[in-house]
Amino acid sequence: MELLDRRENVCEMHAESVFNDSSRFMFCIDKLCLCYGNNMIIENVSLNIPKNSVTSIIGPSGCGKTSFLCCLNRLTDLNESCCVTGEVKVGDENVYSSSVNLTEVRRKIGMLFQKPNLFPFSIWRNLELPLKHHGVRDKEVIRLKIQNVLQNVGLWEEVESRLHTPALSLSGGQQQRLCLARTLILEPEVILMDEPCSALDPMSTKKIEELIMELKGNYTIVIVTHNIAQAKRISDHVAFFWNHEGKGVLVEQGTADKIFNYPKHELTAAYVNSGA
Amino acid sequence: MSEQAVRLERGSHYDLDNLATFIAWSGFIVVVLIFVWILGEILVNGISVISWEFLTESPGNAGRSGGILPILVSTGVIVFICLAFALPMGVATAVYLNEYTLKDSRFAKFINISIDVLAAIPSIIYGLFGFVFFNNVLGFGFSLLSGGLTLACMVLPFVIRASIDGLKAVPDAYRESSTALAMSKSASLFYVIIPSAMPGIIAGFLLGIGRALAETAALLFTSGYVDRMPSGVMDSGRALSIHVYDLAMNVSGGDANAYGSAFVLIVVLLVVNSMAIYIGNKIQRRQLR
Amino acid sequence: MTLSKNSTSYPSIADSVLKWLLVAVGGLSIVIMMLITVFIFTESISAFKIIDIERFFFDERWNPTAGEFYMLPMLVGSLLLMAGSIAIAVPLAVLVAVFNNFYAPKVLSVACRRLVEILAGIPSVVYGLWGLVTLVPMIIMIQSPGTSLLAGIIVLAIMIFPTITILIDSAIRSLPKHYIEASVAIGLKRWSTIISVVLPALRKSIFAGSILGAARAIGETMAVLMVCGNVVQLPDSVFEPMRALTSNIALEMAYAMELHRSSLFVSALLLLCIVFVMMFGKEMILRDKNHV
Ligand SMILES: Nc1ncnc2c1ncn2[C@@H]1O[C@H](COP(=O)(O)OP(=O)(O)OP(=O)(O)O)[C@@H](O)[C@H]1O
Ligand SMILES: [Mg+2]
Repeated sequence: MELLDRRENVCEMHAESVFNDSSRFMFCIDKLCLCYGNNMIIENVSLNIPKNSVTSIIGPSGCGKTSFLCCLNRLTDLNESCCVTGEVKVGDENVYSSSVNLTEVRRKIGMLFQKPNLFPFSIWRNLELPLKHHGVRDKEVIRLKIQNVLQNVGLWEEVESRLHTPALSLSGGQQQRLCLARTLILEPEVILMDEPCSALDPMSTKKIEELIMELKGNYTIVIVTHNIAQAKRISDHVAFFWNHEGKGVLVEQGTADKIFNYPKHELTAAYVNSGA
Repeated sequence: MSEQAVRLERGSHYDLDNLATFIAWSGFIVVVLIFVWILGEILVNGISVISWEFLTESPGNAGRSGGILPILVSTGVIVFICLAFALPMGVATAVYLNEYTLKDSRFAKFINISIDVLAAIPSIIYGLFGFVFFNNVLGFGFSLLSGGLTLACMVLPFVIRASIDGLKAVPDAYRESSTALAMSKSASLFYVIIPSAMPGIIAGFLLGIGRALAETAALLFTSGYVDRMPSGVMDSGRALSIHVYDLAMNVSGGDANAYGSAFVLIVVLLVVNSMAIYIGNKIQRRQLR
Repeated sequence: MTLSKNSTSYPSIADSVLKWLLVAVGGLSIVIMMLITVFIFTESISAFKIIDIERFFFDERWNPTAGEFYMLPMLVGSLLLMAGSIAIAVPLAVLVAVFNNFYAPKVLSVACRRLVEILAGIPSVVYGLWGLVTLVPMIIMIQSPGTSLLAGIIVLAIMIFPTITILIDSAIRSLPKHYIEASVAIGLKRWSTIISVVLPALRKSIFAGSILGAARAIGETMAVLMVCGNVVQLPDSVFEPMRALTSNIALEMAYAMELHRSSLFVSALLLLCIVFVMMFGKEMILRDKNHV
């Protein structure tokens, strides 16, 4: 495809002209490739993700967005057939170097999944477990943190009276917000979100979007979404992935304004306009 | 479940088809009758012996009179020892196989083969092994300890398999989210995965109890025949199933109490096994979803 | 993502200690398996050093204390028990499993399934008790002494029936629906469907069930010990008493010394070999794809 040959120029241009100050970036990703067994799924992605802003990752299904997200906190480790090359730098640390303290890195990078995946325990226990694991023992501190974080996600009034009932009895939207609360309670710097609203109704989606807007001053948010309208509403930066001969490639990236209003690449233009 | 089985068109004007229906029904009824007969006979004859005294007295006159208290105690101790070893070992092995090893790891394959072999070995051979290894080589003699340990080897494969089923029913999402929450592997095992796999582990536990209670041959030369109250785990003691065997075979006029003991054995086993089956089915249904 | 087990995550000390602990415990199954086989082998070998193998088949009698080791009748007896009980239990199990899936009303089939599962857990000593007190007197009415090969076969058949039924029943339930739908679609009646579609598709499971049942039957000790009479002889008819390999061990182990004891280990080894050959054969045949 000739179209694709131009993509590198586009990317490089942006990398140089717009994002050149490395302290502004949360992630600096360099020549990232990912394979499952012998299938290359992501090829040669280089991308810088700025701090304290919302970066959307968009692209068609199966182009490796979820896989890309899993590279950022090395969740790829869970899959035995998965191998990753290239560099993912968080600050100065390469996540894939052998000396990295993964516990620290993962604590810094929270993650919200497509489907709410609470543990089959009570609401309280779901929030208490990660805290305790990371060394918070004081009962009063735990209680305050739980209350605080539930208030942040607007769940406190709804669950205050039933903190000790099973978390899985909550509605889907409530569960997803509780997942967000569970992520926030570890006070991460980054939140990765993999289609967090795809299983939710419009009202719950709106709530999550509002939360993202509230959070973005203090957190770096990387969100995968299929909903272009949503991406337009919430993102500051956008990276567009495409499936090129079975491999996921990064076609174009830039500020939301540039990608949505002045896309440089035909594929990008076609994709962002298809949903509008 | 049985929704899967397509129910075929009923009724037919062919004689052969009617004949087959008749055979199927009569075969089923015969089988049910046989089992009702066997269980009924034991339960009816057994219940007439059961009384408070039967459960709380020592056997007298080689078991013809008196009760079964020391035998219940010995049985309890043997089963306890058996599971005290088999359960932790079984769960640990299951965790190792399901959470740590790669599919093509040689060591894992070897463990799996050993489990299959252990499950296939006849119980009398476990008895022989226990007699040589625990009684003689380790010098435990005829004791509740060596009986319990022999049974532990025997039930181990069943506990492992049930626990693996339980672990397989734990959704991967739990492993993902605990890793994303930066929990260490051991913490996510102890606080998330094993608690979520509890139904399977409990099923394995109950299955183990059921097997241990039902076993006779493996205990013949390990825990022994002595029917007085055991004074410790190194003392010999008679299990309930051996009591049934001994009364029926070696004690003329022991039939009544043999029925009584068999009654107790069956009732306990019915309770334990139905719980295990109930939980096992629940796990399967959850996996199907 | 499907998850794997082998995480290369940054290992904490607790994690690596736990991992090695689990490796050690996992290895215990291997150790136990090894120990059992090694003990049986070494003890048997000390018998083979002194007794020629032919003597187990051609000696005059079984009288180990007097140096006679005629084990053949017990081997034959065990095999007869196994064959007889399989011949009764497998057809019945197939019948009940088919009934359960195609004839029984739903409530009944669920109840029947539960019943069979419960029966699988009834201890063999209970079946032995029933056989001894009820079945043997009934056989005496036909021919004395009652404790006989026949009694053993019947009790074993009843005992292994639930295990086989469970296996076949779950195999029927996991048959692809379209097998049955297709045959109904071409107008076959229920019976013809079962004969021409269901049973052929079940061949492997019936075979696997038979092997499982056979392994249980030949390894069973208590029920056989209680109802077979335990006379060491090649039975001329099903009404004659006989002794199985397992019962022989159970009867004589307690007082056996030296060569006698080793010869009992030889019978254990024989038993082990039979069971393994059956298991191995089952694996091979089930693995063979052309053999569907
Ligand atoms: N565990 C796995 N093993 C092998 N291949 C995988 C695995 N997970 C994903 N893939 C493959 O990797 C490719 C990218 O998958 P991924 O889930 O990252 O896509 P995605 O962009 O998130 O899609 P969607 O928008 O539908 O969620 C797909 O072709 C998929 O088949
Ligand atoms: Mg995805």
